[in-house]
Amino acid sequence: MALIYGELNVDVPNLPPTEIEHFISDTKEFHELSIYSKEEKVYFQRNNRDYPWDRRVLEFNGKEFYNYKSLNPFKKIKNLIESLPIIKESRYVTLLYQREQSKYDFNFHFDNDDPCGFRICFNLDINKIFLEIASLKHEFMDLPNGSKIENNMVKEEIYDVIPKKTNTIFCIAGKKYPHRVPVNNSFQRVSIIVKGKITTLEDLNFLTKIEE
Amino acid sequence: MKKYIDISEFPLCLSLKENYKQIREELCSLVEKKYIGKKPNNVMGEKQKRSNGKILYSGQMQSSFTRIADKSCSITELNAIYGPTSASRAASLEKLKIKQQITVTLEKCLEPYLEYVGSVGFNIIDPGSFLNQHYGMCNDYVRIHMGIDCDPGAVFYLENLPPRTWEPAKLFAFSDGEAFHGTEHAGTNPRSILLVDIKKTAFSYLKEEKWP
Repeated sequence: MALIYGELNVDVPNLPPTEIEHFISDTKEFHELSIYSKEEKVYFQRNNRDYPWDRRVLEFNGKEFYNYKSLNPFKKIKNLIESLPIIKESRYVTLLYQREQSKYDFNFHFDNDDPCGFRICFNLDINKIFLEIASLKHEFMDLPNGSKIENNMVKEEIYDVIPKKTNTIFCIAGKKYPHRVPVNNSFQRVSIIVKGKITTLEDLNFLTKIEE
Repeated sequence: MKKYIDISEFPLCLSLKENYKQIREELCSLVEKKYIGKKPNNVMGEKQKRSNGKILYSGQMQSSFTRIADKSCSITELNAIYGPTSASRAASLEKLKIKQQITVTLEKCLEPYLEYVGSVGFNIIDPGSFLNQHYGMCNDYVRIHMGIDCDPGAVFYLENLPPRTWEPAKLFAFSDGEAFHGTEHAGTNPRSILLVDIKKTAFSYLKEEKWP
């Protein structure tokens, strides 16, 4: 049985959105100058509209940017990030901040072109679907990294990820399972994506999980 | 978190941009006439805090300076540039003059600001090269970079900010002696830039009490 996704049984502290907003504002210029703003540029080229979330790369291959772990919003989750089973030298950490906004369609995608990893999420609605996950159709299994995934490239069966807790961690592990954010799920929230070479998933304690 | 210095209002920057094509041709002339060589020393000096004794670069890194501010150089560099005798020093100064005659457009751009100008030159790095993060030898100057031939795989590191790339005819600046900076080239084509040091006093309009 291979894991597609699971919600971890871990306590996650609250992250005040105002602190995240300040961080996003302080680092805007540096992010736009950096090589990591490519994702927003590609999104704009493909969709002819701005990337709907604020995004910051906090760590890449274990190299920390902005001294983020010493800053207030992230101090509280430093140990959580360290505790995830990822080899530090390969770890990359991305902050996603969504202001409440009108509906949008983010389509199926892989985060950072890499299918597996963890999402530490804050301020989720436990009555709403957070993510939808679907398997790529057989003929699209070998798409090059970074390819745009159209809705007709995935199978009809969709797995709904409904969080058990407001602040929580998901493990997304299905290599051929892109995900999307439902169009009606556009309220304010924060996600921190932690990826890299996973050591083992066997020691994790899951609240829920779906396997194939 | 201000580590890059806004030089957009400094008139020299505009004239460098406007004359980008001619300046690029002048670099080509320097290369054709073999007025370019490896950086003379490869170990960082004692004045370079946090860097003392470390290897400065690996790979292929060449430069051609048309102006040299002695205080920006280590003793090893000065010895390599000027040689041991007064005759060798005179010959080196003569060589600088010849290079200034080749870079006539660049010199015209610099002319109104000569009282503030420090070292000026070009730097070329090949793919696979790495310039360790370091501090410059002197705190008096703002170092301006202008992209000449760029490669998205060649990135610039400043302090703990995410890496950025150079773009042709685009400029950025930082405090050479006070900001920890370095370069990594994981791309495919050589990357060349123009470097111009300008005394911080020329930027008094910025009204910075303390330089970043």
